[in-house]
Amino acid sequence: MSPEELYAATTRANLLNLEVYYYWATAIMILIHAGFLMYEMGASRVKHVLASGTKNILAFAFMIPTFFMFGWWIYLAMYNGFVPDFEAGAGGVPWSDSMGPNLADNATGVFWGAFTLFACTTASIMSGSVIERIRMASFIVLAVLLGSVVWILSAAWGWHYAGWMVTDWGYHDFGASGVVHMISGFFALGVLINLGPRVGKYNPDGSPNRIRGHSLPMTATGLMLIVVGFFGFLGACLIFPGTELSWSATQWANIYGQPTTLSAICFNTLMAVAGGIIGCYAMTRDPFWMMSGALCGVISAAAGLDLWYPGLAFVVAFAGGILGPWAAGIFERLGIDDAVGAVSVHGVCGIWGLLAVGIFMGGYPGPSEEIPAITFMGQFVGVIVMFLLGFIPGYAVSWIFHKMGILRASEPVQEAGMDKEINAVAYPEEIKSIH
Amino acid sequence: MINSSPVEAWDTATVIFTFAGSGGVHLWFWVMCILCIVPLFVSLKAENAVEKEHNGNN
Repeated sequence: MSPEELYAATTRANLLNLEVYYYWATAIMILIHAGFLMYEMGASRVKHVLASGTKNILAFAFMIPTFFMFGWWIYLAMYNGFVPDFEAGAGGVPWSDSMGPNLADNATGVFWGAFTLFACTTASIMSGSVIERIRMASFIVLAVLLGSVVWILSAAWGWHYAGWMVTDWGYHDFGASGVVHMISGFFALGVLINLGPRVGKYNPDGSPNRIRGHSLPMTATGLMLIVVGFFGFLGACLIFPGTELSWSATQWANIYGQPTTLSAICFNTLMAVAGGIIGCYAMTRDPFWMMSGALCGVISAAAGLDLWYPGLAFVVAFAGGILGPWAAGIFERLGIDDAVGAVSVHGVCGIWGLLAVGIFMGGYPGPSEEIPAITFMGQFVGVIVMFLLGFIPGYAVSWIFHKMGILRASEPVQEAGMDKEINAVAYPEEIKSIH
Repeated sequence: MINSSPVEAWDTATVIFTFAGSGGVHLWFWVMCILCIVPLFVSLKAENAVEKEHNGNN
């Protein structure tokens, strides 16, 4: 075998390994969705359980075709702002040769699949916050808007080697603290403002009542599944080496092209999960928040998972574990009924994650000489952009639905249970809700 | 902004984590240790309160 033939065979083998890697990462990411399904159903009262679950599954199902229709194209074409690059996006139109079985393209399908699952995750994040009163059709439209348009636009800007936030500001967001979590959290906030609280959440004097879900064990198990799924999610944030699509012949890289290792992600993800759980436990001693602390921790450390010293990842995550429930209390007192604390866990901890990189990661060079180094200002700009890009569409479209009267279930339907709208009963043995 | 990078150029980099080769690593290691211990005291305090409440009722 000549050196050229050996090189071609090695590159081909690496390409097949890349395909296998992202295929299984995508499969593991589906566990995030399974986890959110359990999390939301457990957080719902008995009379709402299946409506919450159905809503979550339909968000998953609608995301897949809509991400095929336009989501992937947005990622490839919109990296420079709101004006698309049609040439760059040509491979992402749904009738492109790459967008289907093609023996000359082993990569597009698995990359599309991984990004589709990221989109499903964003919709799931919003889904939990609006349970027990949002109407199904409006929710599905909002979920598609979030996952197949807004999230992927933020990814094109800040999670793409040519995205303007990367090339102009040196924005660094390895594990998507901003582009997934802030976007979803603040999109949810925009929706919640128009949606209003559940019936019975607030007393006439404005003081909040605690509405308990019907199964905390189901919620806790769901959150643990989400943690498992995050290993697929964060693993898929790496670029596989040794192919023509790779940044390096021999080393993993982040999506911007800076080298890192799968070991780095393993160290820091585990430390972040632990830091968040322990921080939330210290803050609340509440099992619900303790498990949500795993998410607080991962999201707080996510932007720098490729570079943290593991001890510092733990500290950053611990701080996120304190920040999440603290922020949830503030939102609750402001009249925002976020049933699972998604705005705090994803939005507020996402802010902290981006700023923590800005505070602690000075001096790291950009992936190339043309791209700026990590700076606090670059991360701060990221916070502003992600807040606005998430909040404005969520608020604007839900406001339209609110004015049309199709956003929120009426009080009698909420009191009878949202499961009435889907004609289903979760527990036929007549388990009663105490609320 | 804290300059924590041990990296000046990626093509020659090996150890890339924040504060590598500096005292910052030891600082954050010990902060981590403290943060592992403090919640135990928080927990113990709450457990003692419950013990006291229930023993008081007997």
